[in-house]
Amino acid sequence: MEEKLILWHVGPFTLHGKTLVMTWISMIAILIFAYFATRKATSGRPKGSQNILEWVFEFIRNLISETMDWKKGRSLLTYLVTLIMFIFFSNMLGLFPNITFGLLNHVQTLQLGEIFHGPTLASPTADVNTTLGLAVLTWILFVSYGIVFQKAKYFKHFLDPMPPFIIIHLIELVTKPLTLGMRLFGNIFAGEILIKVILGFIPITALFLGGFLLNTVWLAFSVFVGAIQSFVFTVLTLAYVAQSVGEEH
Amino acid sequence: MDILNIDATLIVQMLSFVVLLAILRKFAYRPLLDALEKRSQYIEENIKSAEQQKADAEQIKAEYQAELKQARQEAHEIVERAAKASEERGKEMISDARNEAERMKKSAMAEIEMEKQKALTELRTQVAALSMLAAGKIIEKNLDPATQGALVDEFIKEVGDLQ
Repeated sequence: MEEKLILWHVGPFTLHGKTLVMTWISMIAILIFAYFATRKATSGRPKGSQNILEWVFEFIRNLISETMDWKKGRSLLTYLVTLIMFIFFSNMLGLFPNITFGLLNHVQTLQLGEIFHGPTLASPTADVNTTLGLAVLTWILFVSYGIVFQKAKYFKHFLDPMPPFIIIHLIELVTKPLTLGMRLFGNIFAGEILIKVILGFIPITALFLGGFLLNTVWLAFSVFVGAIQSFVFTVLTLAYVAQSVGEEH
Repeated sequence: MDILNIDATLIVQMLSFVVLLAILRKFAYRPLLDALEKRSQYIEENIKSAEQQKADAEQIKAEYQAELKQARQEAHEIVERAAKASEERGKEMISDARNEAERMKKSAMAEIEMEKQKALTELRTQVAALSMLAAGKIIEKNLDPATQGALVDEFIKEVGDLQ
């Protein structure tokens, strides 16, 4: 298992090339989906992909109104819809076979040959930078919602129920986004590693299992895990925001 | 641990997500949310107008029922009045007929009386004449004209008393 990082050096910064390219692929996929879903957005009877996107909106809307006051939470709607779609598409991307058929193997530009190497594409969420980046956005979101809706009261709750608890509250302020990001990363990264391991088995299992049975089972499970994790990340983001705007839940 | 390297990628990923959010909000969510809003308005309006129509229909129904009730009552009254009128008319006709019969009977009686009187008078005249004739024939020979005249006068006087 050589899990080699592809690094781009831009000025003083180093970037994970593979993660970025995969992120952009996910983004393009989402934009294409969104284009088809809203191209003929109708207030009449919705068709096809519009139904799916409407279902996502309805789903998130229900989540928000179950968790907190809808008036306070309605501004989260588009953020959370984008979040759940981005994480879901990203999680799924790592399950896709590498459909470049090695055509880019010798492209040196941006090390594209290296990026599109291997049996499958990669999930951007299998990189801590992506998951922690999203977790930082969640952090910014719940802290700013707390300040906007609770004003000074938001800072007072750090001293509850008595002043020494400020240590716990401050630790929590770090662990919340950290666990959020690491949970997603761990699930998806482990899933991808296992896919590669199972694909490594194929020459052996091919003799008596038809080769891909185990992989098929694991891919199906990964779809499930990917969906669940995108849901968990979204729900926890929502729960943290609800907590900091002072909803008792 | 290579895979846990945190570097500028984190910032780029955050920016990527924000850009994605901005693009989607501007080009995709706006029309979709507008459509959803429009649909919910449409449904709300439909429900409202349906309720209005239902209320209207109920009112119209109540009006019709009231009218129907009134019409029935009126019909009943008309029938009753007609029955009463015909009964009265019948009674009137009967009493008219009775009166008429009475009147005819009376006039018939009067006529009969008149005829009777007439017949009696005539009869008296005839009887007088006949008596005169018979008496004359009987006493023709043995009466002088003076006695005869006295007898006639007496007879006439008696007849006059009879009347």
